[in-house]
Amino acid sequence: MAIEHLTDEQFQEYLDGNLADESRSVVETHLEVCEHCRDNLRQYQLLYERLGDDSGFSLPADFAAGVVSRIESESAENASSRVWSVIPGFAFIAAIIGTLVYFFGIPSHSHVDSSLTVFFDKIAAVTITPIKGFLTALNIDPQLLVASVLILLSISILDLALKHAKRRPSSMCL
Amino acid sequence: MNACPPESKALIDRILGGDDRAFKTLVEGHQRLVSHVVFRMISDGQDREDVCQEVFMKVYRNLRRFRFESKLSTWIARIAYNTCLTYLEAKRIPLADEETMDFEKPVDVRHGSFAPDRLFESRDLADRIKYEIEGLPVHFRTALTLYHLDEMSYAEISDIMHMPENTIKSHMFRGRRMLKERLIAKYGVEDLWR
Repeated sequence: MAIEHLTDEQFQEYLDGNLADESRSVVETHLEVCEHCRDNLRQYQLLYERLGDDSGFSLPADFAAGVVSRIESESAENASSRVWSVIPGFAFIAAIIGTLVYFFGIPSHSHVDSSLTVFFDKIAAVTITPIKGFLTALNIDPQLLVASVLILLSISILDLALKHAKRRPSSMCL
Repeated sequence: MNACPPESKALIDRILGGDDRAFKTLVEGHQRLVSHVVFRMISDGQDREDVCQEVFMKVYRNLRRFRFESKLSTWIARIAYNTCLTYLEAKRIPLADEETMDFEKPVDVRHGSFAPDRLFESRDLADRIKYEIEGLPVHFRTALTLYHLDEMSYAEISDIMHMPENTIKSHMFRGRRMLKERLIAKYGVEDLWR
């Protein structure tokens, strides 16, 4: 009658410590009388030892410091890009105010402090009046120019918003 | 499933509070685990360190979303595993399937650390086994690595690799049997196991 040897599954379950008492006892009893299975078990034992060999996985000694430094430089870049990202918003608001001032002028109200009115008049004299003169000399329709600037600013704000949404990490990537 | 221990919670709180030294501690504590996963899944030695860095960048960016439902190490290993899968997909490197493995064919390790000539020079069993491990399907070698090197349970490996526990057990069983058979077929029992 041929000897029924232990299976690969039995060897592995035995070494993993997954066998119930009764099954473990069957395996151990068989091992006592079967040299073929003892050799097989030894082969698996050596394989297990080598699978637990931790050599060859080392990263450079300064790996952690490198990661932290990359994070710091990325954070600095993000802070800088955040500053740049608000500029189109400010430019948009300034363009709207400029347009309103250009077409309607600076209101003079009796309740507004006269020094403030003088201040705005000076600002207008320095900014709006030369621009008006320049556009008249070039024969450019100011309304068309203002509309173009507003459209370009809107596109740039939309572009920034889309880029920001793209950068947001997705849980699927984790 | 094992919950996150209090010391990991404290470490995460410090990192979220802006303490970069705490994050360095986290990296130092988990870089071995990440290198196990990345080095086993990616053969190209030059890309391995970059991928390990990428894993920790993802950990940092997503730490706020860690829900403390598993161990921190399990969560980090999952990120490492997924990052490697994305890398392999981007490089169009197929995840070898056991069904397509030809036991007689030499193992393809073009980018591996163990070139065939080096293998034959070396009579060390550890080198031979490493060489053969690189020829196993990615899922087999990853499961074996997490089990033998990082002492993770089947449940943790199942969580990391998004596969049922029985599939993980089967991968490990077939991986070990395949390794043993291939080593014996190539080198013979007498020479190999001395």
